[in-house]
Amino acid sequence: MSDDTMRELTRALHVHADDVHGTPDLAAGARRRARQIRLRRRVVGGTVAAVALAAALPTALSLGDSTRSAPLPADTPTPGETVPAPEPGGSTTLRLADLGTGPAPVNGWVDGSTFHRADGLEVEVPAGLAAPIAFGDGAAGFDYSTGEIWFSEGGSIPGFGPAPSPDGRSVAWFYDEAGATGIAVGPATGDRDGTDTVVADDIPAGVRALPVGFLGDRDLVSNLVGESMPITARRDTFDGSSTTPWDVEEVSTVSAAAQLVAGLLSVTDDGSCWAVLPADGGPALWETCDHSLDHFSPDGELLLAGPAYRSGAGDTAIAVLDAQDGTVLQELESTREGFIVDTAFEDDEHVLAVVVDDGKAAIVRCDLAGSCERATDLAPAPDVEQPYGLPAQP
Amino acid sequence: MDLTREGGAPVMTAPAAAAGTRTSDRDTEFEAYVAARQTRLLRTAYLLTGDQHSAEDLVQTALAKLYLSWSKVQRRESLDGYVRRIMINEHTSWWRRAWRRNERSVDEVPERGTADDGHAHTLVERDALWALVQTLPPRQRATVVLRFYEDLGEAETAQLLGCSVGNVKSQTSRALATLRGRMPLQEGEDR
Repeated sequence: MSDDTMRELTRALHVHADDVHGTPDLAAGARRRARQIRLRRRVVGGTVAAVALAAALPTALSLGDSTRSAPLPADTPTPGETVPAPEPGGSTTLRLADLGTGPAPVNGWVDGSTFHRADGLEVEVPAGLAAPIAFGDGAAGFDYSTGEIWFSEGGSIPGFGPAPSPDGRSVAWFYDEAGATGIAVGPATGDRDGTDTVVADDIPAGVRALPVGFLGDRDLVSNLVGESMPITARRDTFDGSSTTPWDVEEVSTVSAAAQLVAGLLSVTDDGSCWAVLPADGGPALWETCDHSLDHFSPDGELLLAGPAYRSGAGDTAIAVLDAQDGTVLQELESTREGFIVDTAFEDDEHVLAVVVDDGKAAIVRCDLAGSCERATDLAPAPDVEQPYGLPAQP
Repeated sequence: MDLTREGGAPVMTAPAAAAGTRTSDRDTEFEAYVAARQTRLLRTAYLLTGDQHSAEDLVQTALAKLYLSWSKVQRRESLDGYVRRIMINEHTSWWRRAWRRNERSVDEVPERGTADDGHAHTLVERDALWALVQTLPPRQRATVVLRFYEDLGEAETAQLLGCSVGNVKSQTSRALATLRGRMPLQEGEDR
């Protein structure tokens, strides 16, 4: 191809592109789609989110400095020390370049297509697999590209899940195949030899029951979701009975230890309102329109929260709240250009956050006093793409 | 449901009012941006996708993501660059999905018209070139669109594609080589 022909290429592109003109209502259509994206992220994020491993050991940490505002932590914790109790109102800016490095996340993490399990095994997973869990010697998770639950051992289940039990021994999922829908529970050992139990097969047509988490060994909370909107949450006790104890649109996280649930009361284009409720129903312990409630700590005493309004790419601030009354104990903020993609409790005293800052990403660990460190290497994060993820937690 | 705190003050009043103002401003700014840039964005999307419907779908998806991140992207120097980047990433993702691959075959060279005279030859050659561009793999095609339609430099193209300048050069070179190899030779022309 000569230079003349390269000029012809330029002309050819312009000639064909010039036939294309703007369309009316493109902005309105984009806003509608943005709302759908928000809703999908909220529904799915809330469904796969649960509390951290109850049996997780306290992490031995040497946390580095980060930008803080009052109150300062009493002392930087050293390995083996108990982190000092947080005082309300602290704030920390997550500037990746300023953070020291610490050990890898105790409960596992995802880096690109590799799921690093808590036991050290590494499993290759599909890109975009949501919140994987250890399953047998491999992994399982929800694959957005297929709309099915993916298993590394092979096979898949059309539906949604899995949600692990607090002890990690069981998983629950919603199945929707061959005209049959329902909620099932099975061992997380990877044995698929008929030991699965159908917990509920009374899900109405057109409704999905998305497992959130367990309130006990035989006590599962699931969100009922219609075509695209949440309906309410139900509780199944594996004896064929189910209840809807909470006046919420959906439950985002449950605590078997504290017998609490956190639920969405309402959502608007500008924010959302949430409540913490007793597992057995009854009046809310407290309500807030300042935060979205994401994860209970393993002991159920704390809650990880995001902003009440979530803007697609990620959060600019998250907070650790007292689960009993909603008091803000610690705030973690992104830098001006950064954002926080995902969060989880690593144990009762440490929070993990996938943070993007200045074109790089890392999983960051913070204690309750606001001292933070990087738990992974810095990875390139062009635009909103970044490689890290956190596993689903029981 | 009664959303009140101690003392009975409605929880949503002040924040909701402030949020409402922010949303209104955001919508106004967003609509102004879309009105000003939609034709340009659609044309780029058309060159990436090859058909109007997919182009509109691609732009709408990119604009939806822009809308969700509006408060962040506003601080960036170039909204166009941000949207272009989303479109390219999104289009590459589409391409990777099997159902999309099944819709488009990139292996078959499209049929071309015949050239009876100079003017007709030029038109036919442009059509042929356009048809051939559509057979390029998505990465090469994006490189061609950014370099030859958007008229971006190698560095800016590399930034948008999230790769090195060297990679842009190699992608461009491969794309042109592919087009050169598939273009019919005219009488007296050498490759």
